[in-house]
Amino acid sequence: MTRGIRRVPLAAYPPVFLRVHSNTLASRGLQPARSFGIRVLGRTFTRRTAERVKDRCAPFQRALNDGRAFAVVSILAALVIRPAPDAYARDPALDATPKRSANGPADALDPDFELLRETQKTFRDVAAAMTPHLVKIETVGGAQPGGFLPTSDDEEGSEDRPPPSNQFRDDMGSSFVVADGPTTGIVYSADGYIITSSFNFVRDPLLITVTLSDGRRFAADLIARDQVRKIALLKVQAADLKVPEWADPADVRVGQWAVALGLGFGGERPSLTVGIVSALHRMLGNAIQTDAKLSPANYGGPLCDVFGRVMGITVPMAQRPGELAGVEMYDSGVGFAVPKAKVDEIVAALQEGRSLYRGWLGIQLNGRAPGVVIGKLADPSPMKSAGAQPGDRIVEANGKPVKHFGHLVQALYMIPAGERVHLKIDRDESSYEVDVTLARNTELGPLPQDEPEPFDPSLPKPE
Amino acid sequence: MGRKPLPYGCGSVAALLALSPIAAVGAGAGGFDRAIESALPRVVKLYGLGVGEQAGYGSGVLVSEDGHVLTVFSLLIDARRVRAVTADGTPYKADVVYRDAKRQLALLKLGPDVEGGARREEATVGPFPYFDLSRESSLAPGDWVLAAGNAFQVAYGAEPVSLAHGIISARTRLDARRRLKDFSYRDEVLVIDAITSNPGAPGSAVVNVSGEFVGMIGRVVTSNRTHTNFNYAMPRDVLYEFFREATAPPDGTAPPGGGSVTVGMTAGATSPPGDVSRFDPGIRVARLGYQTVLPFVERVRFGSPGQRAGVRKDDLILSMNGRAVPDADAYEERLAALGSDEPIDLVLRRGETVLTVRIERKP
Amino acid sequence: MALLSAGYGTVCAAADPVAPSETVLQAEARRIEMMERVSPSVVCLFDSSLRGGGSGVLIDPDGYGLTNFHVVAAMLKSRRGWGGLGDGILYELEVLGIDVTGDVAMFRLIPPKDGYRFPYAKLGDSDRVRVGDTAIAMGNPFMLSEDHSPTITLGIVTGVHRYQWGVQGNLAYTDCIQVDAPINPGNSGGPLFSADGEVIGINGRISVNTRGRFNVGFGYAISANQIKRFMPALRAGLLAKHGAWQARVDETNGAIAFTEVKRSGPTYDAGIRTGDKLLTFDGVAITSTNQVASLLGTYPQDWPIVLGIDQVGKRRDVVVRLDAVEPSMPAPFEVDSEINHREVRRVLRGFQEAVFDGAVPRRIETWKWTVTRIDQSDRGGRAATAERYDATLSGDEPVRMRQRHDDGSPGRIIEYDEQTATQRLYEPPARAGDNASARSEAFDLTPDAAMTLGALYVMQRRLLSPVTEMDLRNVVHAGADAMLPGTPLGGPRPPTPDPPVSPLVEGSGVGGLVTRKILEVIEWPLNERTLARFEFDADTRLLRRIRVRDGLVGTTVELTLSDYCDIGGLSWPSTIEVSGPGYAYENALADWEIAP
Repeated sequence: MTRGIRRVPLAAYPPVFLRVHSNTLASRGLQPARSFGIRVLGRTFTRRTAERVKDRCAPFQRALNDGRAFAVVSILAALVIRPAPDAYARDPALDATPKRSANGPADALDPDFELLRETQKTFRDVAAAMTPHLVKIETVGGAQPGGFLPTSDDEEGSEDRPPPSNQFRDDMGSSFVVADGPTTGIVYSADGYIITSSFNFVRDPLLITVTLSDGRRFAADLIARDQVRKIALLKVQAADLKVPEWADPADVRVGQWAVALGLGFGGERPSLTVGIVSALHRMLGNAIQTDAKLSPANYGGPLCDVFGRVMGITVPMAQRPGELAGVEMYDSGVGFAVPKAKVDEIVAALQEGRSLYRGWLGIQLNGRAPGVVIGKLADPSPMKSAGAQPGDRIVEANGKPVKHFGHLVQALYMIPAGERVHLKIDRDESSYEVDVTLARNTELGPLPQDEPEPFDPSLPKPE
Repeated sequence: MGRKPLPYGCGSVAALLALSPIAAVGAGAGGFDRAIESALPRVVKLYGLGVGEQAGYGSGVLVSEDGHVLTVFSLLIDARRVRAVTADGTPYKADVVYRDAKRQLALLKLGPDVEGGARREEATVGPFPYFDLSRESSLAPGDWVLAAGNAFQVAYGAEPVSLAHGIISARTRLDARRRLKDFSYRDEVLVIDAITSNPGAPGSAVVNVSGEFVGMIGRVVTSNRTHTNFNYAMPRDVLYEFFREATAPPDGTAPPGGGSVTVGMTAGATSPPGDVSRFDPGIRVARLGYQTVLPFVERVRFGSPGQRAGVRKDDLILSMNGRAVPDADAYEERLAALGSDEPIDLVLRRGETVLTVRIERKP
Repeated sequence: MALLSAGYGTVCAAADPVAPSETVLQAEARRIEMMERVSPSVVCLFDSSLRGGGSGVLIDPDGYGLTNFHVVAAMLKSRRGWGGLGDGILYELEVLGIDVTGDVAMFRLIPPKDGYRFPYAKLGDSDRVRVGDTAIAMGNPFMLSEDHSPTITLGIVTGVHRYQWGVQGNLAYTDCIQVDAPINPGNSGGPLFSADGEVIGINGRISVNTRGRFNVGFGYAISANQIKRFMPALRAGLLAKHGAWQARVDETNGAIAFTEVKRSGPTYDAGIRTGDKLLTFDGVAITSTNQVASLLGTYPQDWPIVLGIDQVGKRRDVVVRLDAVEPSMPAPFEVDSEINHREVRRVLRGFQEAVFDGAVPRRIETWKWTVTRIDQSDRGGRAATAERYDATLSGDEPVRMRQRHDDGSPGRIIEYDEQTATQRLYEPPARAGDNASARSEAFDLTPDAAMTLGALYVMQRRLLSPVTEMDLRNVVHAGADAMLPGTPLGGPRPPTPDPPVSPLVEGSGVGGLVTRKILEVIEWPLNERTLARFEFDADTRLLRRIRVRDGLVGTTVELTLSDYCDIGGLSWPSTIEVSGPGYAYENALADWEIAP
């Protein structure tokens, strides 16, 4: 088995040995982007070859299931016409016999060592099993995000809708600059829906291409985005995408292995990072937390258990709003994945073409008063419609005590516009409770302006 | 009391004490024991001394019995005096014998710490425990790895160096920068899911669970694809090539001063001095004065490598080697930054189709 | 398919489900189970306005817990805060003692009702921790927990006996554990667990790079064994101080030698002088000054440490009793007497329970015992003279000890008067025939002899009174002390080993470290000038040592109690060794009679 990369010059070999390039087929008059093949040892064969290989495979498939790997490997090796230009080739003999310790004699009875070797094999298996369900997303064009940017709307003919002229502006949530490398997505349905992190879509790309694991490339449409849970829904024209198995939420437990896969490095195979499930029910029930390293290299990809089931889709998240909020925590051992139930709920809305946006109450706080006291109310705004007044003190939100502004943000930041929150408010000696439906910032009116000070000629002139 | 350099000329005392730090570490049923026992004795702590103060610190890997140390090409090795401390706490002088600006690697050789008081008669040092770079190691994505090095200078003297564990995430080409300049090494690296971008970490040894050497942590870089600190190691086979080059017998053609491959670190339009003429794929990308337009192919020169690869007029260039190409300037920049033997993978949009071509440089 | 050698493409079109081996699944299940078992003991700490905070861990069912000092620093004024547990409940908490130099603090969650039992974790033996061991951090990084369930991260131990510099002398992490389990701001004060689910450290610091305050794989935890030494002081609400040795070592010519020894400091008192070489520190072979600084930082004030030195070619061991390091405090820390007395009562109750072996403690009205006193003042081990005394303590009368000669002739009488705090000696009549009952001249004995009897009197009379009736106004819990196995003063024998039970058991002695008994100190004034320190074994609760100091004269008498045996239903020391300035003797209990 060879190790290391061997770059295969284009002209040297007939097309069947190339990594899938539908262009070469195109240049030879074949239908592009529609042919498929099977992958064996890192290469794709055309259909006819694929059928032959498949037939030969059947008996070995059974042998594999029996675990007679060693024999199978050597037999399969005979099928290969040329060795794979494979970066990850390894000597199967190393898996079978324990390695000699650097200092002492081989110790076949070292259970902790064997456990490590078995886990690394499991991780590899998970990556292999998930590969067909992952897509690489590349985008072209679009502005670089940075600083204070009004949220872009891209449905319902919203180019007509002016950006909010009030003071309720969304910001990116982080000064992180999005690079232009590819990102990762997961097949959501066989008919072509793909979910990914909205991380790569803050730039409003002009063109989105999606590459499947078998090499087929499609142009994709961005259907809608959930700004709050940072999930974007894409659609490609395909009818046979492979949907992964999702883990049953009841099976997800703190302490189990969590493997995050991503295609952000641009290679053909996903990269892996490994950690455990650190906590459940984070971010107001919107996320599973993991200490596997999550970053732009794998946002939008799956967080998998050891059975190769998807526990959640990894996205940047933080306890504050913003499309990039949380990205600054990349690789820190604190990462989040949105689990299936939430994803299904979100996708159901997104599939209708309805993006989900950050929800606002429409108030500005009185910074000088202790606690959370309303200073000004936008008009129109949800709080205004609910009958709130300046001076009201918010003491509870969705059952959680609110003692200062941070508590309010924590209680509300993951709730999109259009959903209701339950507030308990003190006014003078009494208190009242009210359900308020959060609004988008574009739906809010302006805050009342301060009355200008009347001119007093006796006051000294300002410097 | 404070941190002080260990006394010099204390070789024999230090050798006796060598047993205690290692013995206190990982004897028994721990899964990473083999990796730890293999790595710790073969990693050195490096210190660069300026005039009276430390110029920096880092890590290095012992790669020969005689005391060759592999590390990264950094400011540290240009210091007035480089000191290496082996696992048993013995200090040595480290001289630069070879450096490579493209791969950003350097090879040092340990010698007696004469300035520190070692006797001049000790002309040879060693034998040292070392990693044989020619030995192939088992390596696959998902494999656990352990990095051992002196990040943050936590370890001092004979104290064992620090560790970090993780798995091999991927093997991919490096497309990265240091601050604003593109990083000169653009070939294959091992991506690992432990943090490697810590001060002092470059030069750390990376081993698999069996203790086999699989790579060395490289200089701290930011990935151009993700704008994040990139966690990676230079793979063993690349290091072996460098080592062979560095220790090849002199044939009179090597430039004076120990020999170095001179490719500048900067990317940009200017060619490195003494280099062959820049590779021209023969593709002209549309421009409209100073306006920024999408990079459509305006013209493909007949017989050019671009044409042979299948590029046609009116193709829209979407990305080059995994990075999106927003306009003609970006196309030129990216092209110039590629390595001299790096093929060019373009993703093109032609009408409704999306396709990929690879343009090879003619040998 | 899974076992194919080359990469991981699919084979034969059908993707098999992943089938991890039983080994992998079982190990994962064990880890999940362990985390479920111990995570209820992890606390999310908040200050009184529920704003900033960190993490902590409960270590006993009464709700006592550990955290970093810097987590509770904001709560010092009110001594109050909040602790959230995974059961979803937010408990009010009380800050107990603090260790500013070492960055540790203890708190107590206030139970909602009497008899409430909290989930808690066990402290492990951090001396057993090895590089490469599994390490699990639990806490509340970035305050992400909404239901107060902890965030759990997994890694390995990447270094032991590490040193992390402090800030102006405070918050140094010496001899700490280094891990790569992700630790971020908010994890401070939380536990570091071993694979078995024992707390081996408290997380509190990380190294950071240019990215900012995020984990980069370098976290540091204060070792559990260091914390155990400070726990009695922390529980008692004290400002725990670290030990200082008032000396300096440097590396010269390949050896670590003393370059400064402050006169009137503890190292000087122990006989160490400049130029002496330091070979071992508490059994650990010393190879660098860093190591010395690291080890020294783990001991409390007054702790005895054993130093192996080379003095002009002669090797010997000396015991140095450390001074105190004064931490720099922005404001003075007041000891809350209620918190302190709670601990006094706990220690005394524990003593009574141990003495009565679980039976209901009862007040003994009359004590009669016979002791054989063996004089050891020459300390050379030569057989010394023995005297027998019959002693009586009844009601509220003074203690009276009557010497008994073998031939029956009357001997001296010693009487201890608690009111005057004096001891009077009556010699027998010089001439036979004089009235045997007439007393000859009485004269007061040296105060230190009085101290001895006084201490014994308090021990036998007061310590067994019902705790609720005790007048504890001037009694304080003074923290912890330690007893070395067999001091080189040629005095007391090593105490018999007891089975380890309490979380305060010191290290296993792995790696050569000297093992100690940790003692809890109750300071009890005998009178205005005399203070007795009663030192109870933190493990068995028995009284192990009494140290009495006469503040006026400046002398100290030390009594070591051992060989506990059953005397009529209670456990009582049958050997009491007394040593003072220039003398030492042993009292062996020969006979007794007690009556309730």
